[in-house]
Amino acid sequence: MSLSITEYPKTTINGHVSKWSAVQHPISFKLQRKDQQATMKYKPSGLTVRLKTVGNVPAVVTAGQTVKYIAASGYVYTWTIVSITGNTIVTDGTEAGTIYGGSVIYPDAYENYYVKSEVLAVDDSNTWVTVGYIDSKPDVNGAVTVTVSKWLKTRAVNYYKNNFAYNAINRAMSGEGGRFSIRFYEEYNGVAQASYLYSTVFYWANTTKQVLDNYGYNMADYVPTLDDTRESRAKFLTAFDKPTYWPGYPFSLSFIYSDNLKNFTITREEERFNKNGTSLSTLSSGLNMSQRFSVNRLMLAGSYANTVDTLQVWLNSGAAAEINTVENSSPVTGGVYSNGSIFSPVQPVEAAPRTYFLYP
Amino acid sequence: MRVTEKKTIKIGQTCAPNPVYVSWKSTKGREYWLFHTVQTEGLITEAAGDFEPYIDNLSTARGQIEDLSILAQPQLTLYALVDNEDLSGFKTILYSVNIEILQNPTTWEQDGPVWKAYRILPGSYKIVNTDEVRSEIELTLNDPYIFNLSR
Repeated sequence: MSLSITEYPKTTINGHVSKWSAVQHPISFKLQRKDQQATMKYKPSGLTVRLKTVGNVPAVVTAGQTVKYIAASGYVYTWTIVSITGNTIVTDGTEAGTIYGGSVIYPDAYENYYVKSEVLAVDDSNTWVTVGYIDSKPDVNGAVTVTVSKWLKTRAVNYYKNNFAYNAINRAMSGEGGRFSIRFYEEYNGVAQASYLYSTVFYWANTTKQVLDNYGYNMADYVPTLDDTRESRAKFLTAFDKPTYWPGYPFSLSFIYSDNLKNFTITREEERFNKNGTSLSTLSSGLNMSQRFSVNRLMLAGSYANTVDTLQVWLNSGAAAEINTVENSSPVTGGVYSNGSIFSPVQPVEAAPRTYFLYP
Repeated sequence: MRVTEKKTIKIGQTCAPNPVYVSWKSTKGREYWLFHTVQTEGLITEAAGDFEPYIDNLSTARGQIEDLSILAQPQLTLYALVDNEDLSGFKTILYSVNIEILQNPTTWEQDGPVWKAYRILPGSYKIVNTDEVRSEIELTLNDPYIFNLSR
């Protein structure tokens, strides 16, 4: 028995992956149920369709039951099992031709099949916690869509307040974005299975997208990537084309401190201009990399001279590959459950920090 | 290598009278605006029930009808003359689910900012006439209601 993830909530921008989604919209994974791998489907002359499986057909599968063959192309054939010998299924199918690979589903042998998805997110103490479960039944061909955003929104619901203290160059804001991952378990014949399929780490931002926006629900337009050929660099998270900073009042710009930047030093760059557009000064300041993998607030340097009329601000990455921080921590896979229950929340342990290296 | 857009930030003027500094959560991120010069404070009240006590002695009775409570909803109306280039960001306050006003504008840097949450009064807003370069926007916020006495 196995599942495979056939579609992830990600996209690419100029060849770089964006795993960031707007949490106010559906964040969905698509999975395919695969009860057993198939070697081939073939039809000897004058006989009905046969299926060859990888390994013997499970004993719970018997003649008279339905078998579905999912070809590698995604096309689904449905037949009745006539007989089974080892790894060969004789069906009542009449479709000619040989197809290699694919998988099979035994809907009658595995009753009440559904996928239980455990949604994990990082809490305020940077610990992975379970935020909810979703039960999903597959369609007649074993395809399952799991939409997880409703549980991720619970991470945002208490955090609409402006809690930034305006005392750091950049800070990750809990409730404005963060990491999540999913564990997919199968349950059938009333029994929850121990093993699970892990999604790896994805990201959410407490934002919305609008009709005709590029990249649909994905925040790719706002995700910084290490790509010098990218025409439109990542946008800051603001609705203003040119925000206004009032000296003496708290101000910040929000941005996605994306996983794509994780191994590089990031700096805030400022260039100040007078009324005539003449450049007056520049400033480069390093960001706090411990705040990565989340939506950040970015402060300006402030204390500008009276001659400064506008300024430009942007983020740069270090030119060299400076490995200077921990990896993108994720829940432990293959977790052990203390009470034997599949669905008791697991307290994953973050991987130990790596040693810092700086290369000249 | 540059990894974000180059965002132009305008430096605003802060010498206007009666400043009210507002921050709100838009559909993208956190936004800010300094309202100034004039605001209108208002108050909406609504009866929350009344009763007529039995009068024992008409000669000593003080009245006939007593209120159970009065709901009191303060409001603050803000005004702004907004350049067209700021409208795309400014108008997001009109549908924001979190609007906060800075309560300690002169001490926030020492004490940390203190924000009070307000709620936008939904309504119909004219944003801009497309042949104008600036728009006058008036918006009303509901303060937290007043905790009043009740019987």
